[in-house]
Amino acid sequence: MVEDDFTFIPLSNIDIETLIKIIEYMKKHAEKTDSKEEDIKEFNKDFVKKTLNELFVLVLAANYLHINSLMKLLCQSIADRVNDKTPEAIRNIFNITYDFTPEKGKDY
Amino acid sequence: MHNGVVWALPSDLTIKVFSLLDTQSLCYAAAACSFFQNCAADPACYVDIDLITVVPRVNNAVVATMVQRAGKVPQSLKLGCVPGPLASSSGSSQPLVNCIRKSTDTARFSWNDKRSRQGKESSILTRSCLAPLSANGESTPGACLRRLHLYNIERLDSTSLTAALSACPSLLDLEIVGLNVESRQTLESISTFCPLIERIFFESSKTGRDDSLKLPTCNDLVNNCPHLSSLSLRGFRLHDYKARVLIKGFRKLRYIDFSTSYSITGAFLKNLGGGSASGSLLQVLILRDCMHLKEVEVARFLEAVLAGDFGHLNYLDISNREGLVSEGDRNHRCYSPSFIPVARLLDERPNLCVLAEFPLEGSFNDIEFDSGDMDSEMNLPSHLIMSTSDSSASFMSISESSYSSDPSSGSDDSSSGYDESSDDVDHVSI
Repeated sequence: MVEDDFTFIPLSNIDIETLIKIIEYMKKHAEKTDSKEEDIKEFNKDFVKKTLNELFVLVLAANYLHINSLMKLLCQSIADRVNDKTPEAIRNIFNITYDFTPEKGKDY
Repeated sequence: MHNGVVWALPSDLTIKVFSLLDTQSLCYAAAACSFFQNCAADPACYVDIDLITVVPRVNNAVVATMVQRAGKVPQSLKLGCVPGPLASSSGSSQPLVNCIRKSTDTARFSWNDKRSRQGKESSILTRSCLAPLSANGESTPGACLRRLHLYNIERLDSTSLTAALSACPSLLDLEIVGLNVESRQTLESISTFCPLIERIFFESSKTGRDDSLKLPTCNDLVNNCPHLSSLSLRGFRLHDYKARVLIKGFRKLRYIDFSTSYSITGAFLKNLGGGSASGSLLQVLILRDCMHLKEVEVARFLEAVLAGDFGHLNYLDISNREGLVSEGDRNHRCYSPSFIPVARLLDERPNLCVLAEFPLEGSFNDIEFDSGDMDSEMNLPSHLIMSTSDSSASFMSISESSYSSDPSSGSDDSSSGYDESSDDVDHVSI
């Protein structure tokens, strides 16, 4: 709905820091041309060097805003942190508690 | 409740993340907590099922569970044992067939490929391991399967394989290594049930002894599977006239690997690949260790290449640890790549990479050591001739070195790593 040259988009569930990061990402990717591919790859690599919580918040925001490329990048970086880990390691890294009742919970 | 705080993602996003994990990590994640277990059961996580292990560790129940969880969406299923660090489909020229090692009991085993501990006795795949693909009557899980790779599953036989293939009409990519199946029956099944197939990689478990492939099967395959672009038949007894039928018949064929084939002499290459003839789309031709490959046929082939045939060819491998068959006497072997017109090839076909490794004559009797490079006693000094052309980053390499017995790690769908300057080789992506 456009009124008076600007549009309101409710962002009540995204804090200002996250929004700044997202804008940073969007700006960088808006510059995308063929010659800048390496550049953008480097940017992506550095972009995901954040704490787990920051990544979570970013993923939720990107999901809300329907930014597919950012979603892919963030999901992949979280998946990379889960990949190749034993269940104990996963619980340690992500601070997750074992909450199976005795019947459930099987290892492969 | 606690977990919902530390892992802030709702289930749909968690499932998105999990769908990017490899199968073993997915199982470990599922064992971390109940929320993860629920997310990991979503079909989206089972689009690509990779159950390849270094030692036998996966049994039928695991396969069944995975396929069942995948519902109607499994697109790729890889199953079996592959020795060594290689866990994906291989383009290396070393045969992947191996006997399943005897299992011994250990206290706990890790899933880490590098520390290969041996699993328990019950972790064996039997002949019915692929039965889940045909389950459920009409809506079979195999209906959407595009890729099926099977390695060294000793107990899987032709009947079971045929049953599985009959459930996979959408199959595009089939890899079979080290199964006790005959070439004729397998290729017949493929031609009957998998008309969309684009890639076949088939390595015999009985190197050189399977000659069941007959002409009618070749014709059936060619008529029913017009989309085939990559064909690897390794370790079979393959005659020239059958090879010819195959190459002429598949209009889209780009990649051929007939390594370790017995009986073919190279005569099948005569008069192929000119202009609009079939075979002219060929990009890669691998005839490694073909015992009966004749030097004269290869020379004739290279003349055709120089004359302009096989315009798309960019990789040729005729290395042979026993040399090529010499003119006239079948018992006499040729060990020198000197019949290859190097200079003219570089000139007129700069994009073509030719790999021709032969042992030095008499090398198996006379072991000489060079203080330079050698990995094992069988390695002899190698002389590498390389030159690059400026316009493209490809070149030719010819080496007279002993055939190294160390398997180089084959990368997915690319040519053998014996080419020492593999960085610059044009890899064919399939």
